[in-house]
Amino acid sequence: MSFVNYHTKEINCKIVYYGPGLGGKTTNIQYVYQKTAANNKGQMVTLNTENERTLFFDFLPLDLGTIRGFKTRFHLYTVPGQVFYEASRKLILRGVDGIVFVADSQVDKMEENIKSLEGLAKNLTEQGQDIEKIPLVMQWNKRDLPNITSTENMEKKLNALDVPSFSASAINGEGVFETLKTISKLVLLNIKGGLEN
Amino acid sequence: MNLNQIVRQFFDENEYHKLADKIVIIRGDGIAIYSNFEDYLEAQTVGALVSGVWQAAESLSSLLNKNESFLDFRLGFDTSADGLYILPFTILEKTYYIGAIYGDADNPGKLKRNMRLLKDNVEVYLSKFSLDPEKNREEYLFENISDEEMDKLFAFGGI
Repeated sequence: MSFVNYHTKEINCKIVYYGPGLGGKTTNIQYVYQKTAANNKGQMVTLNTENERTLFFDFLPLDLGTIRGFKTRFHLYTVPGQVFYEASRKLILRGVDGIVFVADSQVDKMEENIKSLEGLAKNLTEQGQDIEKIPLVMQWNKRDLPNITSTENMEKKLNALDVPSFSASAINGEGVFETLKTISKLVLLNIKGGLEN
Repeated sequence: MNLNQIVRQFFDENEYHKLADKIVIIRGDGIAIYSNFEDYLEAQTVGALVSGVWQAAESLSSLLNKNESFLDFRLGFDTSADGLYILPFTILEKTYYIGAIYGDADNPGKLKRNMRLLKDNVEVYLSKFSLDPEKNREEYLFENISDEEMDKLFAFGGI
């Protein structure tokens, strides 16, 4: 859950990049890390397997600036996408404020996308959250590859909730910040707390 | 006074920040509410790792099939002189963690004991205060945010 400190006027929010294995979640936050000024980012933590697959999570703290007097800080996490890391995914979703679902656009990945999205809904329900209520943005990644599903089909199969969606090629940076800006805005608008008098 | 201020005042008054090289207090989701680090972002990174390692250990310990509260557990990863030590505690029924990271400690056993005492003292100290984290929780902080405001927010980050 987001953390608002009225005394120091700080907002901390947790955004999780979720999706099937090798879909580009880590690539998204690596790109954000590369493009963010040094004094606005912390160390990017990656807990990987020997072959550089995400083992537990990636983490990137961003200190972006102020909005209406509040310092705004986002904590970006990725989950491990491989099927057998379900327990880790559940842990990382604890306290999440917003989710970017990174779907792999390749035709043969649709089934994995669907299963991952179903898993997300189930894991959120288990921790008392509702996928229909939590800020959520879809990203159709790997649009630069051949043999991809049309975005219309991605929408039809994966975006029944009709949340904002973006085409992306995270490896080239396309769509990465559009996605992050949109989820950040949705998360900020969803913070409850009210302004103190 | 909010939780961060109270905890910082408590540490400053008692010089508890000197108990270990690095001390961090985090919420269950990894957000640091206190640290003795100079670098805020480093504290958040350590917070995420402390939370992650605790949550993973908590999941593993569920294999013990015991009904003990996880609040009775402590987590250590150490050699005879260096290590980290994590302890959970509760404030207003929410779980927080104290994490200590130390190197070249003359007496790590004493350091850990001091951390356990610190944990107890934090709980007692905070129980005196009436914290009100739910204040105004039904209202949204921002009614609207323009795209221009978001652009400015991200421009500040050098993006």
